[in-house]
Amino acid sequence: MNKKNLIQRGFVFGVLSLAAIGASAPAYANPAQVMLEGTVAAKCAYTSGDQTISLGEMADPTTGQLNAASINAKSVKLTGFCNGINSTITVAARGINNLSLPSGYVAVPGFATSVGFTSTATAGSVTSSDYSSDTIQPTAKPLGLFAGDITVTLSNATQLASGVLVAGNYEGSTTITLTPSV
Amino acid sequence: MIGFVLKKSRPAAFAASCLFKSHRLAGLFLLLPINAYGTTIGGVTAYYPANGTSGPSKSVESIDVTASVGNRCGFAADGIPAGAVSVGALDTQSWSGRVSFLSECNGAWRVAVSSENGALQAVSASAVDGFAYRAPYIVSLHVVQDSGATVTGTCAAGQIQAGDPGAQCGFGGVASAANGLLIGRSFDVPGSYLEISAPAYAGPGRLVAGIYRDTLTITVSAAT
Repeated sequence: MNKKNLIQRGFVFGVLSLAAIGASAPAYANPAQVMLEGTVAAKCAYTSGDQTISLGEMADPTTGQLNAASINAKSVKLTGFCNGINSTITVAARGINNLSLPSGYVAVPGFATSVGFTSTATAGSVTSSDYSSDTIQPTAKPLGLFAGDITVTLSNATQLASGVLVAGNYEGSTTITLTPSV
Repeated sequence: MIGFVLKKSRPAAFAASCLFKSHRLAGLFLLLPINAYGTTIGGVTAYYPANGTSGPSKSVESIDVTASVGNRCGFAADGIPAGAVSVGALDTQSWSGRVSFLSECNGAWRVAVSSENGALQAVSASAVDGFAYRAPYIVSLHVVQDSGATVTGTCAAGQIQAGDPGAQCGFGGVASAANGLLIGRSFDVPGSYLEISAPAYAGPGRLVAGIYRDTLTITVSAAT
């Protein structure tokens, strides 16, 4: 290799050296982010099971007519929760009727076989009620987030016909519905 | 970062005629023009003796070349721990998720993770008696080193909450030379991942219905 070649080679080397010094490391992604997402479904549930209110003898022993005190103020406690902020509560009462009547029984004047009442559910500060023997459809009331006891109280007990209550077993019901909604 | 330092020493009686016998001197030209011809290439002038002029048989010149390679640490372009992880229902089932990553760190390094909320937090809810709007979870790191050994660490999300001075865990905060889970060199070694998990929420209280979110920020840094 002659001297001139050496000179040229040296010059090229110098250029490459400068290029190497000027090179920079590739940029890394740092920091990185991971998004997490989970869900909680709206739900309502009772942690207590169905309850029974035993009314006992409903008829006044003297008059044979309804003893309202046998029903009014009777109460039961349910325990439940709703985790949705737009949850609702609905109360529906079904009248107390004589279950012992034979099929095809025809009402007899002076005797009664049904008793109406009002059922009121109190959940926290929310109260909802329904009368058993009207045609008004129960309506849902806003409940929101709720966890705790729901007290169900009976009131306004009334014979649906005048006269003496026909002997037999009577049964009615009230249904408290918790509806979840976010 | 890569840098070169060239050092040059030259004998006192330097012979220009032999300068170009030493290839290591290429690119460096600082000679006295003694009875010589000059050639200029690219603005650099080199000198060599005239024809017929004798000179030393050789000239040896040593040049120390020192270089350094800086610490580099980051995620490989195709191994960035990013994206969204849907973990499903928080209150009725246990859940877990994994996010793989590929590190490119040419020396000891550290990795840190911070949680925006310190928990999966309801997007639109606030504290109500009897209910909760934050679901705790666990964050684990599993990092495979070049040696094949795995370094692991586990923190509760609440222990790595961003901006919480009380949050204390082995890899909370932002990675730095002194903060984060210490890892040996790991360059493009597959198998590393971040894992998140939790059992079904069991209280206290019940989780408010809705969507829950959190964001994890993962940072890495050279350890030195």
